[in-house]
Amino acid sequence: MNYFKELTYFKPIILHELKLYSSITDNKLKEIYLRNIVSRLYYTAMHLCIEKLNIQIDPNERTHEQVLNALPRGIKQRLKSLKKLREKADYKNQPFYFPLSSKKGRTGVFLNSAQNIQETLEFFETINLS
Amino acid sequence: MNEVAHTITTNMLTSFYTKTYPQIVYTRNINQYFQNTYISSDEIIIENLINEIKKISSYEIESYNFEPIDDDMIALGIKLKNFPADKNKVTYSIELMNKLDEKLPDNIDIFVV
Repeated sequence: MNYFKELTYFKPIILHELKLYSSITDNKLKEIYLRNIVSRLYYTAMHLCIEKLNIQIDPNERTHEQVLNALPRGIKQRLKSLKKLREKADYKNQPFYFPLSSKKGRTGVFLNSAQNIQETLEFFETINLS
Repeated sequence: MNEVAHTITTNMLTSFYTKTYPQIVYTRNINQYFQNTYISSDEIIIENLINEIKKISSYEIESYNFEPIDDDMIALGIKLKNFPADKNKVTYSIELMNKLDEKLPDNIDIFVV
């Protein structure tokens, strides 16, 4: 059984759901898929960062903040943006579709297409943080 | 403020800002500045940054926009001409940020879109 924090666990799900997302026409279903994809994408990215940073997470502190604070600037902002989108995807009862922006964003510079999601995934997969 | 006074004040201020910030006035309705009671310096900073990016980017900038993304952060989205379809935009964004180094203000992040 795969350990859920490993990339191999979530990546196939994200890619599979992205394919489904692109093929279906029902808007309601599309939204559900996109919420799942964004949520999984964030957790995959976060666990990849923990692995690549090779840091010990203090269980008494907030895990997400510890990871963000250990990251270099540009990467930190991207993970932070993903975190906000994930919160939107999982908790906010408001329309969720491309282009996606974080809290105050208007033009969706973060995730604006299925291709952009794949690129974000590949980016976190290939970055070198050691 | 009555209408006449408002018009006169607006015209005077428009004239002042057209001379002071010619590069921003043509892109924005000057009344927007007064209605929102702020005079944005963001446009000037962004414009300077765009000029810096032009110097280091391997691809020509087709268009750009920016937006507040957090309480203290601004995202600068840039669209690049002839950006290869197989090249990762996220990776290239970080590459540009690294190249800009100290020329990149702390509260701005770049997103190739």
